[in-house]
Amino acid sequence: MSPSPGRPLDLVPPSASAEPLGPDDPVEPGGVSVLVDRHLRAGWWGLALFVVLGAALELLHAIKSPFYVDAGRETTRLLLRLAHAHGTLLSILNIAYALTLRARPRAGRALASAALLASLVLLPGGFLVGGIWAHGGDPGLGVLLVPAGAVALVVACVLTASRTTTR
Amino acid sequence: MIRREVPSDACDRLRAVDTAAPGEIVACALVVAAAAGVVVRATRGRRAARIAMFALLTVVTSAAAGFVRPRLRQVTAAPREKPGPGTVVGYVSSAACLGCHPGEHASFARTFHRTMTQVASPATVRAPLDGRPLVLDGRTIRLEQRGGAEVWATLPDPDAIIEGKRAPDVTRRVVLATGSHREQAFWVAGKRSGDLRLVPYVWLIEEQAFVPRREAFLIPPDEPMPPVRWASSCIACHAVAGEPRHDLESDSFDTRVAELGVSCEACHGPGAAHVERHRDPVARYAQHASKSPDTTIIHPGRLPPERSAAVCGQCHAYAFPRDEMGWWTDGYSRTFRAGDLLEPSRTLISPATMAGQAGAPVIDAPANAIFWPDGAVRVGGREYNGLIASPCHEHGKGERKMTCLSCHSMHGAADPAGQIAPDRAGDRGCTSCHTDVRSRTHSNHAPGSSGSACVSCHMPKTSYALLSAVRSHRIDSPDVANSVATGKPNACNLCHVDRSLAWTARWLSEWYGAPAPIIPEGRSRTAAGAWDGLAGDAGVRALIADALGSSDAHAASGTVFAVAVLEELRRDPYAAVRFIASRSLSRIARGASSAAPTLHRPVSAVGAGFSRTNEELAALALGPDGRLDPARLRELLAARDERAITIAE
Repeated sequence: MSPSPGRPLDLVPPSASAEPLGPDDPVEPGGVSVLVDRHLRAGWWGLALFVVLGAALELLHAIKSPFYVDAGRETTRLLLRLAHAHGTLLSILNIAYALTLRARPRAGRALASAALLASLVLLPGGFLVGGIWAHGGDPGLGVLLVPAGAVALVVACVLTASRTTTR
Repeated sequence: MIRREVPSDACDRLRAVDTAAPGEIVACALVVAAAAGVVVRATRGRRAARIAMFALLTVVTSAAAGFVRPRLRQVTAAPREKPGPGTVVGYVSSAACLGCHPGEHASFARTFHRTMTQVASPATVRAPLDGRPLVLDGRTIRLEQRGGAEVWATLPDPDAIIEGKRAPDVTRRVVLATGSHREQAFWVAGKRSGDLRLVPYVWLIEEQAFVPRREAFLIPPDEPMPPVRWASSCIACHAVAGEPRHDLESDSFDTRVAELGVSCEACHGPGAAHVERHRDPVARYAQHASKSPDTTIIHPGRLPPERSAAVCGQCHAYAFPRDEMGWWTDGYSRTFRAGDLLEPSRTLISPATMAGQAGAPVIDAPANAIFWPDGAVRVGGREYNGLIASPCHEHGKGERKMTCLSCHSMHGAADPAGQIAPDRAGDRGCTSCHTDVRSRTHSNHAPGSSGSACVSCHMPKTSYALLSAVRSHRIDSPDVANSVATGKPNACNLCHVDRSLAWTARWLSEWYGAPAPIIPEGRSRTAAGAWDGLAGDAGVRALIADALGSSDAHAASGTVFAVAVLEELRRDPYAAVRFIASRSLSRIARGASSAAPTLHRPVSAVGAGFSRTNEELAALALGPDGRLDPARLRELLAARDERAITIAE
C-alpha cells in the first residue's frame, strides 16, 4: 500500500467517517515525521533520565549507602543496575528507531512504535520498582511489568525488522 | 498426646510477607499508567493497534503474576522467639561491612565462626528434616520442615522434664541452630519468654548421624545432662555483643544480640563510627593514603600481643565474669570489646582459682573436668588458657611474642576448620621465630614425616572437645615424668602407642638428655596406649581412642594393637568413649579395605609390620591371636582410674 498524497501529515484521522487503520497498516509520510519526533524525544529524555539514575547509583556506591551496598541488598543492587542498563539502552534504541524511520519510512508502524515506547517504560520501570521493594532474594511486585515490557520490545523489533527493506 | 503449639501470630506474619507495601503498589500503578499513556498516544486513531497492545500487555503481566505469586507465598518470617536486636550503641552488623570489604566479608563468611548460631531454617539446619523418628528413653523425637521454610520439632516438653513433671509431647518451631562444623544442636522455645531449650538429639556433621545429646559429651553414664539455656550458656560466644537480659523474678529472658554467630564486630569492635566516617569518599581515600592506623576500628593484627590474643580469648578462654549480676543483664556487651584486655571484665580460671584462691569465683565443676594436674587446660576450645601459659607467649617480646595470629587467620585461610594462615602452614608458624638450624633438625624423625612436624611433639592432642582430641595450645615438650605424675599422655606415645613410657624415656634421654624418670613397674612394662587406653580416666581413654584411629599412630605402631584396644573401648561405660572408639575402628577399616590383612587375623599372619617377641606382646597386653590377653586386660581394668569425669565443654 502506497501513501495517498492527499492524506494529512498527522496520525489523527481527518474525519470521524474515515475508516480506522489496522494494526499493521503503515504510517503515512506525514505520520512518520511525527513518529520520528516522538521517538527522538522519548529517546533523549529517557537517556537523560537513566543517565541520572546511573549517576545516582554511583553516588550510592560512593557514600556506601546501606540501602545499596550492605549484605542482603544484592537483589536491590542487581535490579537497580538492570533498570539503569535497560533504560539507557532502550533510550538509545528509541533514537535508533527514529533514525531508522527517517531512512526507511515504510518501516513505521503504529503498533511497533507503541510497543517500543511501552517497553521503554515497562522494562526499566519494572526493574526499578522491583528493586526498591525487593524482599530478600526476591524482587518486588514491579518485576511483574518486566515480562510485558520484554514482549513489547520483541514485538517492536519484529515488526520493524519485517518492514526494514529497501524494496 | 501431641499438643500443637502454633504461634498465634504465625498466619499474620505470613500474610504480611505476602502483601505488597502501599508504596510499592502505587509505584507499580504509576509505571503502568505511564506505559498506558504512551501506548494511547502512540496508537491514536489506530484502535486495532491499541487493543492489540493492551491485550498483549495484560496477558503477559497476568501470566507473570500467576508464575511469581505462589513463590512469594513461600517466604517465611523468622521465628518470633529469636533474640532481638542489641541495645548496645555502635554495632551495625556484618551486613554493613560488605560494601567496602567484600573480600574480607567473603573469607569470614566461609568460616565456621559465622555459623556458630543461626536462625533455624532448611538452609541453615544441616540435619535431614524428613521427620524420621529418633527414639530416646522410649520417647520419639522428630525434626521436620513445614510451611516452606520453617523447621519444627516434636519432643517431650523440655520444661516439664527440667521440672521433673510428666512431659507430654509438644511440637514447637525450632528457633536457632548452633554449630555447623562438627555437630549441630537445635533450640526450641521454652515455657518462659526468651528461654530456649535444646532438642535432646544433635546432628553429627561428619558422621551424618543423629545422636542423643547426652552421648555427644563426655559425662559419666549415670549422670543426667545438665540443662542448658541458650541465653545463659551460649550467648557469650555464639553471638556478637549478646545481652541475656535475664529477669530474676520471672526467670525469663529478653535476649538481645548485635548479630548471631561470631562476625566482624566480635573481632573488630563496634563498627558504627567507622561506617559513618567512611561513607565520605574523601575520608576513605585520605585513609588509604595515610600511614597512620584508622582509629575508628580495631585491627587485631596491629594490637599489642596481649590485646590481640584477648580478641580470640574473649571466647577461647575459661573465664568467669567479674560482675556476675551485671553479666546476667548485659553479658560482656558493655564491659568488653575487641582491643580490650580480658582481665577487667572476667577472671581467668586456672588451677589456682579452682583451688580456692582468695577472691576467685567458685566454679561449679571439679578441677579435673577442666585442667590436667600440671595446669594445662584439658577442654578444647579454651586455647587462650594454654597460649598464655606457653613460653613462646610468656617470654616472647614484640613481634616475637606468640599470639593466636602467629598461626591463625580469619581471612585468607584455606582450611576453614583450623584457619591456619597460608604463610604459617606446616612448620612455618614456629620457624618464623625459631630460625636456627637446630630448631629445624632436632626432631630426629624423617624430614617431612608427621613425627618431624613441630606441632606433633610440642602441641599434642591432649585436650578434648566435641567427640575429638584437640591440640594443646600450651607449647611444651614431651615429658615422661609429667605423664607419670599427671596421667596426661605425652606426645611421643600418642603416635607410638605400642611403646611404653620407659621406651619413650630412653629416647628422650638419648636425644635430648632428659633426666631418667621413675616409672612405676606396671607402666614401665606396658605399652602406653594399653595403659592409658584401658587404665586411664575417661578423658584419657577418649584421647587414646581418638589417637588409635589416627594415621600417624598407624604409621608408627600399625593397626593390630589399635584394633585390639579399640574393641575393648567399644565396651567402655562412657558413651563418648564408645563413640570415638567405633569411629576409629571405622577409619582403620576404611584404610584397610584395600590392604590384604583383615583386622582380626592372627598376629603371626599380619606380616612384617607386626612381628613381635613374646615380651613385646606382653607389653602390648596382647595374646598371640592379636587380641587383648584376658589376664592382662583384667589387670589393666583393675587399675583403671574410675573417677567420674565430666569434660566441661
